[in-house]
Amino acid sequence: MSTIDYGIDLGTTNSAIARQDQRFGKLIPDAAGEILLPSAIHVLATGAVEVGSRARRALDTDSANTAIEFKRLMGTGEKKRFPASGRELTPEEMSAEVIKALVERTANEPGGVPRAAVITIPAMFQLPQCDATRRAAGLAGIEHSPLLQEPIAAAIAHSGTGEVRDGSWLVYDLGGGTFDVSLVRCKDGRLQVIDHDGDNHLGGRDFDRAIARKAIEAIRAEGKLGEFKRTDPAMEDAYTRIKVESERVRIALSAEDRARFEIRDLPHGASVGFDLDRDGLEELVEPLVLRTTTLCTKLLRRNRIEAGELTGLVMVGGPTLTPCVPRMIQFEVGVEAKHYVDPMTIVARGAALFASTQRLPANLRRKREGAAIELQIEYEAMTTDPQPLLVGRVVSPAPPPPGLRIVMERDDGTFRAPPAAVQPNGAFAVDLQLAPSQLNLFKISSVDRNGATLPTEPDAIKILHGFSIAKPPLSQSVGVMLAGNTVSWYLRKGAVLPARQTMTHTTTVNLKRGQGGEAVHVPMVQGESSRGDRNKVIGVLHISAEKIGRDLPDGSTVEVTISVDESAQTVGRAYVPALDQWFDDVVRFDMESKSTTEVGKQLTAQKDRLASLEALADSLESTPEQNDARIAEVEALMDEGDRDSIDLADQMVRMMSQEIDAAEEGGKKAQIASEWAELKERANGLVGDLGQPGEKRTLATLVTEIERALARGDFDAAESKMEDIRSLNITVLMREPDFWIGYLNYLRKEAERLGLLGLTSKHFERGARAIQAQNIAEIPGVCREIVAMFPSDERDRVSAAIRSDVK
Amino acid sequence: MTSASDSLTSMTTQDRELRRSVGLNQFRKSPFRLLRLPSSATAKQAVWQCDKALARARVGMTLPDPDPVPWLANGDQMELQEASQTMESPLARIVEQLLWFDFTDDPYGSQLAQALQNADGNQLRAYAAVQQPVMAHKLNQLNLRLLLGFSLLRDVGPSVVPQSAAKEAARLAWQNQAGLQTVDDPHKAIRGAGALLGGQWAALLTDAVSGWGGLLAGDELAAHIRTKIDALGDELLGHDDMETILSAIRTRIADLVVGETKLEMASGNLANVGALSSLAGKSQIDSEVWLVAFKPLRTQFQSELADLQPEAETGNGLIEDVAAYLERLGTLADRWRPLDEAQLLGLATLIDEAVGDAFGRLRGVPREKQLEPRFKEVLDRVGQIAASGSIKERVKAYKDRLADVQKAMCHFCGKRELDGTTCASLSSQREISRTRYGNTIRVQYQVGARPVGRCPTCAQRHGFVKHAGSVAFFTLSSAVLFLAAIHPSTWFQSWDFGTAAFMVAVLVAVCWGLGFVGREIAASFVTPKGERRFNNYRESNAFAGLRGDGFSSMKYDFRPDAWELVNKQGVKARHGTDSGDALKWIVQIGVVILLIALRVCLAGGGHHY
Repeated sequence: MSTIDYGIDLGTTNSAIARQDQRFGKLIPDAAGEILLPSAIHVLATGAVEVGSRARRALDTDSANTAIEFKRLMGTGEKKRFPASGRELTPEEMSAEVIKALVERTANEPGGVPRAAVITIPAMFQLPQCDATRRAAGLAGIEHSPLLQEPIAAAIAHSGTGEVRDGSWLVYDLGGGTFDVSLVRCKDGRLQVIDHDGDNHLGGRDFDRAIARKAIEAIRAEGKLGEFKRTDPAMEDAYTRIKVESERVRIALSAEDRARFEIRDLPHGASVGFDLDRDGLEELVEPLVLRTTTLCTKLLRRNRIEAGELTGLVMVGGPTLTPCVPRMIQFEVGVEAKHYVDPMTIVARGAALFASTQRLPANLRRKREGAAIELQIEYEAMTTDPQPLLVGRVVSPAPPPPGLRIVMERDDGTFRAPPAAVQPNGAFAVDLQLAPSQLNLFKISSVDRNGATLPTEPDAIKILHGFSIAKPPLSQSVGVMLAGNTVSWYLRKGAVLPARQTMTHTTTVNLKRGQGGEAVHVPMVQGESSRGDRNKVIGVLHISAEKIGRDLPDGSTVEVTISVDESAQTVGRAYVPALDQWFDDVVRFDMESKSTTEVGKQLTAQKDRLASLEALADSLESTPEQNDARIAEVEALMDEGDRDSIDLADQMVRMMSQEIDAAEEGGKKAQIASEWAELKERANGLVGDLGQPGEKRTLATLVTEIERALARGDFDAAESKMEDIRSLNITVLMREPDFWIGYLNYLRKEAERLGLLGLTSKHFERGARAIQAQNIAEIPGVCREIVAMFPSDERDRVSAAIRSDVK
Repeated sequence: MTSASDSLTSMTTQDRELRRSVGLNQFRKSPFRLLRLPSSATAKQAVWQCDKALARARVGMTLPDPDPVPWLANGDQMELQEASQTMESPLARIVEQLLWFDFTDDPYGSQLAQALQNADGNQLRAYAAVQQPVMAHKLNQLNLRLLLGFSLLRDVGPSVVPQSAAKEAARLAWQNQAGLQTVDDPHKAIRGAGALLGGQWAALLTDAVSGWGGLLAGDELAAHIRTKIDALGDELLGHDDMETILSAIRTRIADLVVGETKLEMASGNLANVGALSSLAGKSQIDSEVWLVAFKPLRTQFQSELADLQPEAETGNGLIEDVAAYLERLGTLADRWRPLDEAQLLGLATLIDEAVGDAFGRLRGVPREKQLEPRFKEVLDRVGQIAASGSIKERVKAYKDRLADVQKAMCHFCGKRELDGTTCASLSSQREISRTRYGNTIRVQYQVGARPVGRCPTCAQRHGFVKHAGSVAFFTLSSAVLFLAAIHPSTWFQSWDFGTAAFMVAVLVAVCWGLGFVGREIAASFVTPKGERRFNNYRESNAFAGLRGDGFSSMKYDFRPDAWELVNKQGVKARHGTDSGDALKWIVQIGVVILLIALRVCLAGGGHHY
C-alpha cells in the first residue's frame, strides 16, 4: 500500500474513521457495529481509560471522571483532572485516546493498523489548535497525519464520488463545537475553496447550552440549590447531567415533535422537568442559527456572489439535523439547504477519499520482501490531466544497473507506457494515459538489459482521474503584534497553502554571546483586525539569545521566514545576517487564555464605548437590542466560568470590539468628511475674499493635502491640516476690523455675565471710543487688557474664543 | 529547482539578496516563466504543468522547456505551487499575464523570446528600438524595460549599455607630466561607468513606469484587458472587474518600485532611493497609489527621526534643548530633501510633524523667556526647517502676536503678563472750568486714571518697597519722638523749648526723608536687573495716555491693589487726599503734640534749661 487511505473525522461530539479501498470508501464500525464514536473519555480509578459510548454513559454516573467536548480546548494549556485516578490530561491527550479507539477498529482491515491517517479539522482552527491535533495523532501512534479542513472533506465527499458536480456551492458545516462555511467551486473536476468563514466557538453544543439555560433557570427558580453556580464544585455533576439531558432532548426533537426534559435526584432533592416542542427549540436556537447565516451572507457578499448563482448548499454535521435549521438557512441565505450525504459521516468519507490520494512517506511504506529495485516515485494521485507525468528515481541499487527500464501498465490492460530508460543518475520519466473519471491502477515493473523483469517496490500505484483538489486557503491571517498595538501580517487570510513569507525584524537590545534571554520575542497573532489586541495571540516568534554565535548589537536585522503548509503545519526559521547564522523552530505556540476578570474588563470597556457611540448607532452592524443581547450572553458565559465559556465570551467581546472599531472608523470618516466640507467652504470664502496671496497659496496647498489624506484614509493627517486651515482663517479674520469689534462685544457680554463690568468699564469705554474714532488698531490691545482682567480660570476660555496662539 | 524546505539555507548571500528584489521577483516568480506557459494557457493547463514540474523537482529534474529569462534564479517547489495557485485565481492570473511577455500576439514576440533566452544585450536593444501599434507589443516593451531596469539595478542579466558608451565612460584622460604619463583621477573612469549604469536603470524604469501610467490612464489598455477576460472565460472574472484589474496593476507597479526602494534604503544607497522616488513622481500613476505604497517605508524614516532624541536635554534650558534638536532636524531635513522631491515618501510631512512638535514645545516656554531675542531666533529656525506653508504661517503669526503681547505685558518687568487686579494706578485731575456765583467759585475738574500694567509678582515687590519705606519712616520718627519725650535733658539741655521743638520737627523730617531712602534701598534689592523700578511710571503707556489727554500733574499709586481701589472707589476719591495716609499723619502729629505737652507739664512753668 503506498497511499494513506484512512480518514478520521475527529469531532467535538462524535468521531468516525473511514477507509477508501480502491474505488469504494467505507466507514469502519466498532465491534458493536456503531459507526460514530462519541468523543468522550472516562478515566477509571485504576487510571485506565474508557472511550466512546461507555464513557458517554459514565457521564450520568461518574461525571467528575468523564470528559467531553475537549476538542474545543485544543491548543490551550487547560488540563482536565480526573479525581478518581488523580490523572491530569491535556485536551490533546484526551483526543489521542479517541483517535486510538478509532484506529483500533482497523485491526481487521487489510494492511493492519495504520501508521498514517488524514485527520480533519475545522477550517477556522487556529495554528496552535492544528498543532495540538497533530500532537494528539502522534500520541495515538499516527506518525504521519496530514490535516484536512472539514468543509473540504465534505466537499470532496460531495463532489468526488460518483458524478462530479460542477458549480459553486456553500458547505455549511455546523459541528458539535465549531461552525465553518466554505464557498467552494468545482470546475472541470477541479475542486477549489474560494473563501471561507466561521466561528470556532459555535456549534450544536451551544444549542444544548440554550436548552440547559432554560433548565438552570427553572432550578434557580425552584431555589433548592441556591444560586446554583456552575463554578461551585458541588454542582459540577448536576451541570454535566443537564448538559447530557439537553443534548438528548435536542436530538430527540430531530425525530419527534415534542420531548420532555427530565432530571430527578439532584442534590437537596431538587429536580427539573419541562416539555419542549420544536417551536420552543427554534425560539431558543434562533439567535445561534442567525449567527451562522450572517456569516454565510457575509461570505457571499465578500465574493460578490448572489445566492441564486449557487448550485446549492451542503449541510454537514449532526446539529443540522435540528428541524428548524435547514428552514432558517433557506430563509436567511436564500438557497436550498439539503443533506446530500449523511451529515454525520460525510466528513470522514471525504477524508478517506482524500487520504487515498496521499502517498505514504517512504519510511511508512511496507516494503516488499525481496524487491530488487526500489523506486522513489513522484506523481499527482488525483488529477484531471488525462496524460499525467510520472517521474521517479531508482533509490536502490545505486547506481542503477545499466540498461534498466521501467514499465508501467494500466490494470485494465488498455494502456502500456513505452518502457522508460533509467538515466545514470537513476531518474526516469513516464508519460501515462488515464482512463477518464475513474481510479486508474498501474502496475510497475523494472526490466533489465536482458529483458528480465525484476521485483520492484512499489509495484503499483493508483491515480484518480477526473477530480482534483486545489490547495486550501489560509482561514485566518497570521501576523506579529508590534509596538503601538499594530500588526504586521506574514500571511493574509485566503493565501493558498502552502505559503511562505519572510519579514525583517530588528533586535532592540545588545546581546552578548552566552547570555540568557531572547534576542527576538514578538507575539504572534491570528485574526483580521489591524489592532493587535483584537486578534488572538497564538504564540511568539522567539530566538534564544544563548544560541547566538557571537555578540549582537541592538538594531541588528533578523530575517524571519514563516511557512504554513496545506495541513497547517507551521515552520519558522530565522537568519541573522550579522552572524550569518540560521535558527530553527523560532515559532512557539502558546495560545492566550484570558481570565474572567480580563474578559470582564474588556466587556466593561466595550459597554462604555457602546454608550458613548450612540451617535454612531447607524454605523453599527447590530441593533442596540442585539448588542444588549450579546452583552447579556457574554455575562452569562462569564458567569458559567469554565474555560470554554470564558474563551467563548472572550471571542464574543473581540467580535463586538471589532464591530465598534469599524463603526468608529466609519463614523469618524463621515464626521471628518462633513466637517471638511463645511470648513472648506468657509475657508474658500474667507481666505479667497480677504486673504493675502501667500495665504491663498497656503490654503490651496492645504486643501490638496487634506483631500489626499482623506482619499488615502489618513484621518489624523487630515485633521491636523484642518486645524491649520482653522488657524489660517483666524489669521485672516484677525486683520479685519469687524473681528475685533465683534470680539470686544463678546468680551463685554462675558464681563457682564461674570460681573466684571465695573472693573473693565473704562476699557470698554476706550474700546468704544476707538471704534468711534475708527482707530481699529487700538482695539486688539484693549481686548487683551480686558482679557487680562478676567479671572484666570475664565481667561483661557475667552482667549480660546479667538483660537489665538498667544494667550 | 530546489526543495522548498532547504532552499533558504542553501542560498548564498547574493542569491538571498537577489531573491529579495521585489522587482526581479515579479519576473522570476511569474507563473508563465516558472511553469513555461504561454500567455494564453488555461488554468487547467497550469495545474497539469505544475504537477509535472513538481514531480520533476522532487527528483531533482527541471522542466525540459528552456527558461525564458535564464539570468533569474529558478523557483523552488513552494514557488511552483504558488504559481499554479495564481493561475487558478482569475484575477491574480490576469494581472500576472499583463505583467509578463506576450510572445504570441506581439509581431516581434519571437525575436524578444530569443533575445531573452540568449540574454543577448544587442538583440534586446534592437527589440527595444522597435515600435509597433499593437498593444501586446507595447506591453512587452514596457515589461522589458521593467525587467532590464531591475536587473541592471541588481547588477544581473545582460548588459544593455552600448559598448561604445561604456568604453567612453571608462576612457582615462592621460597627461604628460614631467615626462611621466599620468592620470589625474583614475577612479573617475569607474565612477563614469557606474554613473552610466545607474542612469541606465533609472531611465529604463522611468520609461516603464511612466509608460504603464499612461496606458493605465487611457482606454486602449482597458479594451485589451476585455479581450483577455473574454479569452479566459472564467465566470469569476467579468468586464465589471476592469477597475479592480487596473487598480491591481497600478498597485503592483507601485509595490515593485517601493520594494526596491526599501532594499536600497536598507543598503544605505540613498542616491538610488532618491532616483526611485523621483521616477515614481514622474509616472502618470495617481499619487495616492504611491503614497499608500510608500507608507510602510515611513516607519524606517520615523525611527531615524526618533533617533534624533527630541527630548534630549542640553542642560541650558528648554529653548536651547529645542534649538539643539532643530539643528539635528535641519541636518536630517537637508539629507532627506533630495530623497523625496516628488513628496511621495511623505518625508516633508514627517519633518513637519517633528517641527510642529518642536514648535509646540517652544510654545510651552515661559512667557518671559519667549520675549528674549534667542527665542525669536529659534522660532525663525522652526520656520526655516518646516516645509509646510501652514507651519511657516503659524510661526509668523505667533511672532506677530508675541510682539502684540509684549504691549500687554507688565510695564515693570516686561516678562510677565499684566493682571488687571494688580496694576498700579496713575491718576490726574485738571481744571476745566471755573465759574463764579456771587461769593462762590465753582471749579470743575476732569479726573482721569489709567492702570500702569503690572503683574502680581511686581505688585508684590512694590508692596514690599512701599512697606519698607513706611516702616523705616515710622520706626525712626517714633524713636526720635520717644527719646524727646522720655529723656529731654539729654537732648535739649542747652536749648530752649522752641529750638528743641524745631529740632524734633527737623529730625522727624529727616526720618521722613530716610523713609524714602529706605524705599530706594529696598527697591534696589528687590528689582531684578534690567527691570523698571517701582516708581518708573513715566515710561508707561498710562502716563503717555494721560499726557495725551491733556493731564499734567499725576498722582502715582504703586500699592499692590492700587488699580482695584480706583475701580472700587472712583478716580476722584483716589485722586484727593489719601485718607489712610492722612490719618497716619494726624495720629503722628497728635502724638508729637501730646509728647510736647507732657514735657511742659513735667518741667513746670518757667523752668529753664
